[in-house]
Amino acid sequence: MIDPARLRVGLPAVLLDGVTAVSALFVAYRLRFEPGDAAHFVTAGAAGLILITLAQLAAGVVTGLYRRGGQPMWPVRLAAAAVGGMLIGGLSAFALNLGEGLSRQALAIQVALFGLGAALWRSAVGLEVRKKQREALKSRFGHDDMVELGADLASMAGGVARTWNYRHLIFNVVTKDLKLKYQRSVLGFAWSMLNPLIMIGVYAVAFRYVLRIQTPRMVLFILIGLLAWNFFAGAVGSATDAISGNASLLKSVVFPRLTLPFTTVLFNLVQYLLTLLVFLPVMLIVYGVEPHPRMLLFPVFLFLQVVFVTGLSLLLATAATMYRDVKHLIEVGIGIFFWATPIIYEPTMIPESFQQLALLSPTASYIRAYQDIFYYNVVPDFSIWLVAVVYAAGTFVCGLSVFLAYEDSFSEYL
Amino acid sequence: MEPVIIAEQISKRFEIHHNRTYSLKARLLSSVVPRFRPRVEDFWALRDVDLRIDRGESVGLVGRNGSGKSTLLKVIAGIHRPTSGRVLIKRDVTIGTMIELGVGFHPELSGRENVFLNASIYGLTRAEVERIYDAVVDYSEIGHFIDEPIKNYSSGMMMRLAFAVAAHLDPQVLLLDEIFAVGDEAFQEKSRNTMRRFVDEGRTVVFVSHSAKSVAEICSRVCVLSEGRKVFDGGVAEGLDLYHEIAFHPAAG
Repeated sequence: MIDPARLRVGLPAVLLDGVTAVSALFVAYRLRFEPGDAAHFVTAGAAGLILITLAQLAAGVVTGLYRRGGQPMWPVRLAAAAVGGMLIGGLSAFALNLGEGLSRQALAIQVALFGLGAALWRSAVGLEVRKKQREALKSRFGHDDMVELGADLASMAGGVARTWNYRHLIFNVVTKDLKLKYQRSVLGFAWSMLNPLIMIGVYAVAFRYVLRIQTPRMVLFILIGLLAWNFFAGAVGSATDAISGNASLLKSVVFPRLTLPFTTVLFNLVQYLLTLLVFLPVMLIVYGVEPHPRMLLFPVFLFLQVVFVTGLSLLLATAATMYRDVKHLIEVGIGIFFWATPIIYEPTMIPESFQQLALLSPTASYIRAYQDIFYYNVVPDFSIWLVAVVYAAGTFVCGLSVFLAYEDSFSEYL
Repeated sequence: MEPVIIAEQISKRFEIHHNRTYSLKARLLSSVVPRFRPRVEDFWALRDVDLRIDRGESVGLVGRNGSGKSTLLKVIAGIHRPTSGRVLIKRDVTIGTMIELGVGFHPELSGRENVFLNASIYGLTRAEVERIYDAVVDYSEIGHFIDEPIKNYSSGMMMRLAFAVAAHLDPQVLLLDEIFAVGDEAFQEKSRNTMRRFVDEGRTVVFVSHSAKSVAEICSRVCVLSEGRKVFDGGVAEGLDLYHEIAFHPAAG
């Protein structure tokens, strides 16, 4: 029998990943094209496809995915290898004139499938390794009552389960924060309404009367994007303080650290939903938008955005704890990405050749989905779905694994 | 006896950064510009410490400042990750860690709200807090001030409230750092009595302290740490003698 601990690193892991990557490619082409076409494209692009698989494995070696001791943050290394390898392999294939049979969409699907497959087999192996550790302890004590402290700390399911036991803490802190924010202010909750209202007014005036851009139903358009953006920017901005702002708590109490970034995301989500609840129905009535079953897609994209924002918050909370300048970097980044995202200008105003690229801006896919649903009255197209799902799943898994890998050393950085 | 905590060969290294801040800029520039190279000094707070604690024991960890006793407590609690070695904990044992009182207290909130918030940090559900709430208020002797924002409390009242929450958490194993070195004489007496009751009820207590008096009153066993190593593990009287010897004549330790 193969020792599971050895399966996770070294040559066996490279081979398993290779098989996963190639299978993912075939499935991706099968999803992208009709069966006959897929076969044709795969043979036409065979050289390019081999190059991409090799590049992904090589990138895995570079990121330390197969190195002994490279375990703690493997999802991040894996994601970097899958995406980086695909980009490097794909670009060099086009440079070497081997790009004829390559479909960009299929490659994007391949990255998602490869990441998922490789993550699944690693998780299965991880479970097996932990089972062996438990058995070793059992044979030593004669019973399985002793567990190693922190043995399941890096396990994602374990991390989420521990946090679920502390849901009361999350609830209490969010209520406290909301209460503290609105007490002692005359307008109270109205402030949350006033802020976007004023910003929308400013943008509408600037665009309509100064820049003379004639977007019809402009207030509705800006509102949809701006509220979703405020949720993102607010959550990400406060995530950098989620850990470093709670030093005394982290140094003296044992509780799942995940509750802290979850709390900041939830706090911002509640505010987003409250403002949305007031504004959106009013706007839809004022502009005469008919209710439509398509609007049921809104909670789906909202869920994806929340997952994405949570994942990013976990990453940034960890990074900001280790390096103090991350906070300033994020402030600058938020300013840049606001203008790189179609919030106050329509996505069609972006030059044709940059439209796909602009979709990759952090919240662009979610905001464009909301605009499609409520403003353009269409179902979001495939590329929006793809980016929205991949961003959500990718950042969440990476964020969670990075956060859990460093969770028990936060107390030393503060 | 049946063990509830086994610490095996625990070592803990801290990195002491002599540069002012640890920033991304420094990290990126460190390979190019020597000025940004981190000047890091290793400090071993613990070296190969073994500790086994059985159910119902009350163990005092004593030693001079910097001997590693608080670090050991934090490693056992899971606040710090050991650099090497591991900690085994009995499954399903509830462990309460009291290193600082009143963490998470917010001055703008009322005493009542702070009790709920503070208890939920220790993992209690709302229903569980409601069950102990009256007893907490009684114990704290705060009376009708409980609905006032705690920024209006005296520091003694705040500490009483914080300790009242801690005293009603009902863990099977209690990891305690010197939290009742605060408050007036009467408060200290009351909190020591509560600790003795904890021990008499058969709970397991690990207690970090400078105070030989508190240790002698509460503990049934003493471990002496010196410069990160465990130098004694045994009877209270003998352990405290050694502790005094080390504390007052460092060369002998």
